[in-house]
Amino acid sequence: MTPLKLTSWLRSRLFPLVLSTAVVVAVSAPCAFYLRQRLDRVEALRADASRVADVLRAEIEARPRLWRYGTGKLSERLSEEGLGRVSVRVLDGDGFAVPLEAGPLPPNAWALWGRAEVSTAGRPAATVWAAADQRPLLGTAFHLFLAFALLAALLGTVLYVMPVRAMAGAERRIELLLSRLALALQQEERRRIARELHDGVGQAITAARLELLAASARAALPPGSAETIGRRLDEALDEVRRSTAMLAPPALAELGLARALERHCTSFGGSAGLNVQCDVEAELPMMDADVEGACYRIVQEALSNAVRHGHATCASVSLKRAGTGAVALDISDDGSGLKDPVGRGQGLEGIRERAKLLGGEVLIESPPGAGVRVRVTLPAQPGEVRA
Amino acid sequence: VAGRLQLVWAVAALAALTAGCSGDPPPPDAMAARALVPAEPGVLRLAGSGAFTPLARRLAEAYAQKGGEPRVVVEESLGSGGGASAAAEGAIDLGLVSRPLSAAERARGLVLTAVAVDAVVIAAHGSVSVDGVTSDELRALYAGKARTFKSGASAVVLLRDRGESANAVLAAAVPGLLVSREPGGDERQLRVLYHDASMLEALASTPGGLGVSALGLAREMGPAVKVLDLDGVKPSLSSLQDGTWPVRRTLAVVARPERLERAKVFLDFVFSDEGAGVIRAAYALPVAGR
Repeated sequence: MTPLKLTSWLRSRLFPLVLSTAVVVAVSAPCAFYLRQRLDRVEALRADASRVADVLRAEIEARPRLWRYGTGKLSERLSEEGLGRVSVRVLDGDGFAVPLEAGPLPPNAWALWGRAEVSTAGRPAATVWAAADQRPLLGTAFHLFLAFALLAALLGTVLYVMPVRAMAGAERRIELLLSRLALALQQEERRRIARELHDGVGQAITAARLELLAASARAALPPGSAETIGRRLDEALDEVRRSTAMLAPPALAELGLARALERHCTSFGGSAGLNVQCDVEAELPMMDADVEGACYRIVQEALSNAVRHGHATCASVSLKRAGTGAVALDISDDGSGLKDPVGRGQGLEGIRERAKLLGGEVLIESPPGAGVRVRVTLPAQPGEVRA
Repeated sequence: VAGRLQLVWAVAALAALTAGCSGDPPPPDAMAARALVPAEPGVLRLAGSGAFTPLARRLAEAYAQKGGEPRVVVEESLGSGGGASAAAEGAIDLGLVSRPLSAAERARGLVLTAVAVDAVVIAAHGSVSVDGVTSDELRALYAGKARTFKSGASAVVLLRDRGESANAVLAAAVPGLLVSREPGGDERQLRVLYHDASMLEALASTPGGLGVSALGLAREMGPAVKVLDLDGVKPSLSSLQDGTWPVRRTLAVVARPERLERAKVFLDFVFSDEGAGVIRAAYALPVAGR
């Protein structure tokens, strides 16, 4: 059956969505924090520059000609007023630097600037710039990013893994149901063909046999011909019966699984020279027809293998309840065992395939010189699929 | 199309937000060193130490009354460093300093001429009941170990800015005189005054106020400010002259050599007997000759 590939389809569409969501979660909060803090920092720098400008304005008004040379006291005054740690640069109206002993800007600083103009009598006298290194802010934002990246990774994992796991489970259930459906259709088709063979070809051969007997009674045939034709017709009828039995074992419908298994063990053992011990539990759970058919076929295949390949003389068949809603089938023989320890023969592969289609499990053991043991566990009602 | 429009809007919003947070543009490179300011014809400008400024004004007034030329203008105080810097750049003719020049200042080619020696005194609010303090009391008051005068009255220490020359000479005369100026270093949060005039105003208006000033400036405040003895020595011209008053400093002018020529007539007046009289009247000792 072609795989549905629903999970891989979901993965291919979910991954970009989850990735973009994770990126947004990881980046948005640190970016918002950084921009907000940076905006606050710029406002604070502008306020610092304005405070310096106010002090400077008073100095300029007191010493209009020589204010540039009184900045020694000005520096100390800024320090006393809590502005000593602010990195300040001042240019006078002519563009010359005014020396102020302000807080130094670290080397290689990534400076953020706030500016304030100093005007006296309506004329620009100087411009004050206050600076701050924004690397510490970036560092904080980076740490925030790491925390949110971790959160985004966790969130992304949950958002990705949960739907994918759910889809994988659903896909398994769908595949199982489709397998069951295919098996049911196959069984139904076999039964139909078996009926056609039995009711059509079988009846026709039987009629021909009766016609032959009538012709023989009338001595309308050469001597010996009637016997020869009769044998040929009997052989054809036997072949039809074997074929119908192979396609849809009539014993199952007629006797039920337990009796059908016992009859098969008895008849097959008798015909093949195999001593078969059959043990079927009386209180088996209600089983689906496909499960019963699978049990019957698996027993047929296992016993056939024991005789054909293992040359076994004794075998045992056991069918019991296994937990709630499951049955355990156990077939063992005393034959020569498997040549391939993994059990990859066509017959065993068929057993595995049947069990798999019904959601069951197969365990095949073949210790050297100790025959073969086939253990199969099948759900009694495979249609009741659980997540 | 709708998806692209949303993307464009998102990018535009992000760009606007980022632009709003980007701050102001950095300052441009400063101009190179300022050119020497040419001398102002007919005017001799003086500026610098706040301790020297009142005396310089008295000398300028006396010089003007005598009809001296060029006209002498004494600007508001800049501090000794500001006076030296302005003189080095030619913005003024004579810088007023109340401390020795630093090596950097000397390297700018300035010539120093000592003019007078004044007394740095411990001054207090006029209502303070004690007449003097000892060095130990002063250390305890500055360090915050004592909060009252010997009389039991509360003492409020007032500080001058770090660069003030009076701090240095007082610290030299009273070893171990320490005060914490670091933010949070002193729970008293001592007030800092940046000019002599503001210190005197603070002393006059702060009951229990205690600070440093110059003898002449403190005397000018009258009874509002009290000049205290130190270790039993009374600050005066005589104690300054006989060397018993330990807290003293030299008041000097600094100038570029070519500007000294412009100031020669004024400096001749300063070092004349008349100038010496003006200096003594300001409770300072004139320095004999140049």
